[in-house]
Amino acid sequence: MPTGYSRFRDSSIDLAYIASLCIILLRMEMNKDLVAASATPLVLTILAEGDSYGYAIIKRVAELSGGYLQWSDGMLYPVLHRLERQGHIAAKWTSSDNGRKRRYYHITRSGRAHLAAQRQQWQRVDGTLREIWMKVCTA
Amino acid sequence: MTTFAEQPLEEQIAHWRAYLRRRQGVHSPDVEELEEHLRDQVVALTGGGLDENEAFLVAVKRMGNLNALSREFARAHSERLWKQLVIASDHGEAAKPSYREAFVVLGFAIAAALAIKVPALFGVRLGPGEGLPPFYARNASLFVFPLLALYFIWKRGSEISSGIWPALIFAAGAVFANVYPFRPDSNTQILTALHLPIALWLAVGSAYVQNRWFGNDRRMDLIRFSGELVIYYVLIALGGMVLTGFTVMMFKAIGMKVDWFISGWLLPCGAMGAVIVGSWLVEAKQSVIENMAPVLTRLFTPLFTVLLLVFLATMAWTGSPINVAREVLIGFDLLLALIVGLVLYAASARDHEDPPNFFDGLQLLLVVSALLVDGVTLAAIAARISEFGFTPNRVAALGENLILLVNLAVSAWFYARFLRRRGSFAGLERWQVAYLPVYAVWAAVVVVIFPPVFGYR
Repeated sequence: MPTGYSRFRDSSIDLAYIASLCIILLRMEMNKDLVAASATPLVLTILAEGDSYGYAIIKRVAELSGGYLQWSDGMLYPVLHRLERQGHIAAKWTSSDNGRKRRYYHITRSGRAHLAAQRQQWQRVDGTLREIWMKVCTA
Repeated sequence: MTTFAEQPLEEQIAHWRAYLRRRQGVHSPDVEELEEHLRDQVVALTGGGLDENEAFLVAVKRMGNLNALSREFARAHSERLWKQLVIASDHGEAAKPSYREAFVVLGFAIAAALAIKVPALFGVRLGPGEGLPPFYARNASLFVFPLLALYFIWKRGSEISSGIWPALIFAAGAVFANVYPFRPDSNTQILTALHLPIALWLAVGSAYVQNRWFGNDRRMDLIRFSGELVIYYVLIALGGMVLTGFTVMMFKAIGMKVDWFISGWLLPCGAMGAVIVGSWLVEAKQSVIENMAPVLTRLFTPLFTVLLLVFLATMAWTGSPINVAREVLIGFDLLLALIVGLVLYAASARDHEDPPNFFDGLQLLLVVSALLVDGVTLAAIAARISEFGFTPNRVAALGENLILLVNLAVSAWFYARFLRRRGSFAGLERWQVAYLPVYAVWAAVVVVIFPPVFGYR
């Protein structure tokens, strides 16, 4: 792995932490569109932590969101496939020791760039809302 | 009796997998991936204390609504809803036999393309400026139909002995196409060239239905196949025209004339090979994409109804009779054949269980107006014959007209009964398929009996 990878890794754990905080904040009413929109950065973030497969990703999402960010399990796969087509992640079938086949996903360079861009966008949205709400509260 | 919950886990998973596989947009690798997920989930849940069935049910529930899921898959892979237009069988196992078939089909197509060049070895040449030698016009179908029949015998895995009937028909066709001493510019020769393919299609059909002529379903399949083949053939021909155009243009640019190649090789070989390739495409796609013939039928039934009604009204208004020139007779016969085709393909795509609807009413209107037009045409032909006597063309036109008239009249009766809910749609369908051999028999009569009767004129 290039050195850039480990640097990114740290920041992505950081991001995952922030993501989990956001999710806890939003837990009362998770708007469907918001859930759908957050799927991409979430999946990319989790894959930035390391290669993974569908079931493990779902578990990780549940873990990070404290169980509050729930997709139906199947819906993860179209998201993964779409990211794969966009070239943000790459997939490979591997068989595990007990003979089960798994499709492992790996984040690509373009995926990392996309994640960085997404992260900026989400932070900007978050920052803007925060500022407005602070003003509204003080008014 | 075991209920769903009592089945062993593997069986339940197999059910679920089969259910998922039927979805459009979800391919088998996706199903595999989802199944692995389901198994992981079941393992985790049983580890948490649930028994296998409970775990399975929870895991399936968590997977979410399969309709929504397959919709998402289709959206993520929008090409999948289109891709089925290309012959790529569902990945994996099925791919190998289709490669083998592709090679066999290629072999047949090349054989057909070469067959049309065999007469050139004996001095009967095709080339620019000479026009189409009558030999080729009479025998065109004989170069490719036997190969097509062979392809179906191979494809269906029929006994080679089942090819005896088609072989006999082809042999008879070859004899009657070539033994008669036609005069130059003979009308009966043109009639032979036009009717022989129709008669020989019976032999191809026989190989297609594996000699099981008496199952109506098989005949209906033959009808569907024929309609789709025509459409594919036209599409391939359009592509061929583009290819021809570019060939001419490019070689002209470097100062070479390639007419000899176009009319001696590209056109005849392409026309023959395309029959085989088109048939293969139809066979390969029959279950994958919607048939085009019924779609075109839906589009054109209203338009032809309007055409016939306006035509009748105009004729009634102006009182001008049909001028029975030769082209006009052939034209009206073709019109009626087309109307029968519209009825046939509307029937081929219809679910017999459905109650009568607006489209059926429209069909009846179409058939009735066609009957009226046919009546007018028949009167004109009869007048012409009584005035100028019998010629091969007039008798052939009259015979075809009568055959189509009978078909349409009975169809109208069936439609009327069906619309008044006195009968089922299946009756009409049975009538249409039962009538098929009549066309081939009449075509055979024209080929076999007309030339001697009319003195090879």
